Amino acid sequence: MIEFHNVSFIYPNGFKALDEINLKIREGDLLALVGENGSGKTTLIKHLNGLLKPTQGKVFIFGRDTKELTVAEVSRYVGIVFQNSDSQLFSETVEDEIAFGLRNFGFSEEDINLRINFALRLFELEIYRKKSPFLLSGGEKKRLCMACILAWDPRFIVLDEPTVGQDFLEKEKLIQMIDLLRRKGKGIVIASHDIEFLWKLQPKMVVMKNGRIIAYSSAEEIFSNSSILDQSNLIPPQLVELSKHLSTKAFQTIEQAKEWIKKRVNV
Amino acid sequence: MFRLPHSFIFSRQDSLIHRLDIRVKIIIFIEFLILSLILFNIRDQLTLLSFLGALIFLSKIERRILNSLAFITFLMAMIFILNLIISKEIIISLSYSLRFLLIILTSSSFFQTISPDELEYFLRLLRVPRYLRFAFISALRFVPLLMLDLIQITDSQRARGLELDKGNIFKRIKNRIPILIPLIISTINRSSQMAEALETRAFNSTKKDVLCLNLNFEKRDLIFLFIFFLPSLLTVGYYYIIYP
Ligand SMILES: Nc1ncnc2c1ncn2[C@@H]1O[C@H](COP(=O)(O)OP(=O)(O)OP(=O)(O)O)[C@@H](O)[C@H]1O
Ligand SMILES: [Mg+2]
Repeated sequence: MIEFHNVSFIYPNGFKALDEINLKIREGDLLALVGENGSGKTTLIKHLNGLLKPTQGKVFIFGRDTKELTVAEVSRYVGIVFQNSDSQLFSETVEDEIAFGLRNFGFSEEDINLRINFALRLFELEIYRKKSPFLLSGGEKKRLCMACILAWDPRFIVLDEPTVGQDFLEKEKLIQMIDLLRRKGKGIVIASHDIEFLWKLQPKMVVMKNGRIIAYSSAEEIFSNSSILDQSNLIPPQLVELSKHLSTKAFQTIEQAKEWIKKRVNV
Repeated sequence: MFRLPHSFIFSRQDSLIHRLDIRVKIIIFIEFLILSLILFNIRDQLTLLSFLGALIFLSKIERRILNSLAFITFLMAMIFILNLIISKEIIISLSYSLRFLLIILTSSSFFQTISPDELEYFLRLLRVPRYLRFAFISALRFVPLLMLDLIQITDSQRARGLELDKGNIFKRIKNRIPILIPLIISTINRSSQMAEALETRAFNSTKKDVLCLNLNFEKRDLIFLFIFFLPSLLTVGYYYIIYP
């Protein structure tokens, strides 16, 4: 479990990026962080593995204060894929890139091999195994970065803007993978502006504004609350808009909408 | 260690000094630089230092300067000790380290209060050719971006379990490779992107050179020019009038 107790964070230049954050994330949770540009999502994420330590308040990871742990110790359990993570690539081959993290955490060579295979398969990158990571396309690089983190099987997985630059099919695969991880009992945190993508996942949502959490609730409730939507400049997903016009309960999938309409139109 | 470069990057502030006419700023800084190079007398150096201190406070850059002060003091102490060993003169050694302090503070406040645009104007006054000027200014503008990249890459690698300060000196140097390579690559990418962007906007296709900088000399500029010329006047006064 990850707990934020009254966490505030001020950058060295004096900018207050987090303001009195209280939050609990359990294993098995699927949490979406939303909010405008600059609302503090990435800053919050950097507190999850101790890259940033709170200016005030405390962050506990499995009951231990992050101030007493190194980033490497926490990262073994909390894997973060950053917003522009494709700038982290440096190895000669894709498999070396994945092995880097595993070596840092001291896995045996045998184990490393198994895990590389697993990660490459998960993200359908097997054909690139011996290729240079620099030759991958933008979307493939992003997937490689996720593979690098998932390879060591952390208990919490944090994705900052995972859908940027991914085509429709990749997004669908990502949704399936996140579902799989959720069923395996991982705690998942996703920061994203991609509302349609989030809606398909039906996560619990944390809405941020100016470094504060202004709402914490199910996706359905957030998107039906117009005052929160106004405050955070969020636009509801199309299915929610549609159901609003039809004055019915929010549709979660296109199938539900189809059923509902069919029933009324008698086709 | 990440702090020191900050004291040589333009700091976007709205201060009396920042708003001065660029020509006045340049004159003041050249004067201060010459004085810090030639003064070799603790009394004169301290006079200059107090003016420099006033200038730093008026330009609201004291926080960044204070942040790098620990490192500067360390270097000053080194200079002092080395000189003391060689010359065995406390006063002279002190003057040497004061000279170092003055040069650092002058150049640091120069770079923090003169924006890249103004700096370009300065280089133009020195008749530096345009392509060189442009290269210099864009290199300068790249520094803050490079630092952001550095932080971001370091964060990503630490999130993958990289421990920078582990092991002996060789191990530590080796630990830097996963940061250095991506940094170099992203810099190369960024500069080629910039080159492409410049070409699409027809950079250097005319010979005419336009300056987008307002030059207006006001009364305020005159006053500051006078105030900050006092150290020179005082020095000249000390040497030629009071103790001729
Ligand atoms: N290193 C830094 N120094 C000072 N201020 C910073 C720094 N990094 C971020 N900030 C500021 O903190 C605020 C929050 O930034 P953050 O990156 O957490 O936003 P975000 O919610 O992730 O935005 P986005 O949706 O654009 O990714 C922003 O206003 C930003 O300008
Ligand atoms: Mg962000």
